[in-house]
Amino acid sequence: MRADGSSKYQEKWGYFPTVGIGWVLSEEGFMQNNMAINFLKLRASWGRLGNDRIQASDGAATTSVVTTAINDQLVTGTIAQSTFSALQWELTEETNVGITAEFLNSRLSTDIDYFIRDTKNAAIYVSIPSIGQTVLRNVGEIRNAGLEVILTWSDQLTNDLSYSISGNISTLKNEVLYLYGQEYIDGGSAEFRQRSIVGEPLMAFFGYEVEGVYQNDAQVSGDPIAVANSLVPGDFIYKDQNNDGAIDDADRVVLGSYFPSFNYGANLGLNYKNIDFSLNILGQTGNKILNRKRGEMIWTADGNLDADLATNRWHGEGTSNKYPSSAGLRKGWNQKMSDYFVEDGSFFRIQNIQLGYRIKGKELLGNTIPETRIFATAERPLTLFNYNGFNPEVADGIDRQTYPIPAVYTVGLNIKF
Amino acid sequence: MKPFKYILMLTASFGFLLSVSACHDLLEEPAENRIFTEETDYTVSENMIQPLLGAYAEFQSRGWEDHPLIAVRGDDVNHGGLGDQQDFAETDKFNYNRGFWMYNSLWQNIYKDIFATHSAMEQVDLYITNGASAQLGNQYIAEARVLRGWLLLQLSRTWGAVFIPTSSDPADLLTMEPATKDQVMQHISDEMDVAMADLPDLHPNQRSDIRGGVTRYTALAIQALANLELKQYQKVADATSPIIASDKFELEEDFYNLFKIPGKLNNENILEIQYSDFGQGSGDIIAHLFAFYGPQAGRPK
Repeated sequence: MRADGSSKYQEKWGYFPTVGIGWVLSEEGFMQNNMAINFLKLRASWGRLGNDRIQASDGAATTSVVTTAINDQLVTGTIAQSTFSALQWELTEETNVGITAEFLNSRLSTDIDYFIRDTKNAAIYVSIPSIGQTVLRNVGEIRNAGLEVILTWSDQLTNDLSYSISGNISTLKNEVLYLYGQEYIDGGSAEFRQRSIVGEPLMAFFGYEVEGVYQNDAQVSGDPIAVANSLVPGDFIYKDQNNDGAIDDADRVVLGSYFPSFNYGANLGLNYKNIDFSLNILGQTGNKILNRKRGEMIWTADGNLDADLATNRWHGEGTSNKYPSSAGLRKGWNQKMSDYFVEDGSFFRIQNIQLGYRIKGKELLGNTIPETRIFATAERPLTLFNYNGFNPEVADGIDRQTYPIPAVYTVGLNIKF
Repeated sequence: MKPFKYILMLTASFGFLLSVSACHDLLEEPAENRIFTEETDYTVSENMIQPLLGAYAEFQSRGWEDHPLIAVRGDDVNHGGLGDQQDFAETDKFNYNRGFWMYNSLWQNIYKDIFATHSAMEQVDLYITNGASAQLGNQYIAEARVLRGWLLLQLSRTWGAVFIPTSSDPADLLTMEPATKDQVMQHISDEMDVAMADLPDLHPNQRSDIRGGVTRYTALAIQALANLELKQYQKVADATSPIIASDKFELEEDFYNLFKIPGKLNNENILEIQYSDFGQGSGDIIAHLFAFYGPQAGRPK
């Protein structure tokens, strides 16, 4: 049981209990003669932790000092703010059940965990009506739930050769449970709207679905929406979600979230006599990235384009059903937040390959060579992704100026004196 | 022996816990570097002007998008080229994109300033009840009322039916219905009648305490504009006649100076949003983003 106090918030004390139980089944009488299972443990835990990494709240009305010019002189005035943040500890409650097991002479081991992590009293920005300012209140509830599985196999085939393989997968589902009675909270910026809706992931990308591009005049004149908005071939066809014959903000839907729904990784290790080899791969799927670099074109006509957009822009009938024309890039109609900006952020990466050779206790020219290891490493030699930016690993799913991460190849010598 | 050791350990740890409780007081201290409103000393009457100056400061700090958006649909402002605000050009053609940031921003900017005027009126009231001069205080409240009227006028001209706030607490709007444009204009006209009684009978540039601030004629002018929207033309004439008869206002002789420093606080302006670089080449400046006004090609002669 843990109690923490913070001067940052109005409710200063938080109480954080944790409880866990484990049952080592393999020690039980009925498991003693089981040859296949070497170790089996069931575990469950429940705990609550506090988060005080949120900014401090005032808890009372404050007065701010402002300046202005009157008669060519700088004068100061005061404004009494009537809105303020009042906060308490943000709580995270995690429920975890898991199995740890080892089989086949402990060569195969596995860890399976299912967790539900609820962030309660999440400090969320509550909008003040009409002035757009927000204050922080502890009123949100967000759930992260998932399954983690780790599987490892290690074996020694002969005295000289041993290897181990391990893999891990984990799933994640993020969901907003409660927003103090608000159906949603807007986030992000007006041009690239992200919305936290109850039942959907936190800060999901929210916009229009692009069905295609108008290819010719006949298609434009045949569509009442295109006629009403004076569109031309090369402009986007948005999906009319509610079939009301108009594209307006009621036709926006959740386009995806930056939380990956599935993470995986694997390790391979090999030892043969003096040679050691290791390989490490990882990847994730299910996350989306907001290509904010493409979005920058809304404001600057002379920015850079990504190659896919430049070659596959619409420039005649049948040339593209994905991107608008060059003139279209400068039209407000095509600049709405849509899945043209929100791309698939899945990737697969070989994180690390290392090959080493150990020279141990050898004699050369009559002298003992100190323990030496020669190795070659490749870090991030390969990353596969569909995203049209440089690097699919971006913070919070928004790619503004992410530079490509270089692959590093190293050759080294390690000598112990 | 063993139980004794445990008892000793337990007592020692309890004793330690109790001694640590002294630092609880530190938790209760308020945050630093904040001016808490309830700590304001309202008996210091010289400070009564501070909230009013705060209201002026908010009134004068306009976002760059405020005036263009208010005026673009009329003939005074062209949308210019298709630079980086395509939806602004579309607004000129009465083609509205509800997701366009300017609409949201204008609404929030104006309401934030209206609440600032309410806050100024409430704060000045507190000074009056704590001993400040009632006559001066009522004048300050009237000035804030006029600024609020101007802001509501711009808001309703742009959107039509809007909310009429009644206090500085934005949460009041949660249960309010929007008033129709006619109701808002009538409200503004009535507010100006209330304010006029307490305002000085001077040209704004004749005021000594807040030069260029609000006077009786500012209230009359806003009342005239509100009645113009209501199409009550006799009331418009009734409001503008005193302004003309006062002989305090005249047109600037050289039109060129209207956009230059000599034109600041001249006799032509009834209400001026003041900017200044204070005559310095560097340092403090209260400015507005004028850069994009004017023709894209061509230079002044």
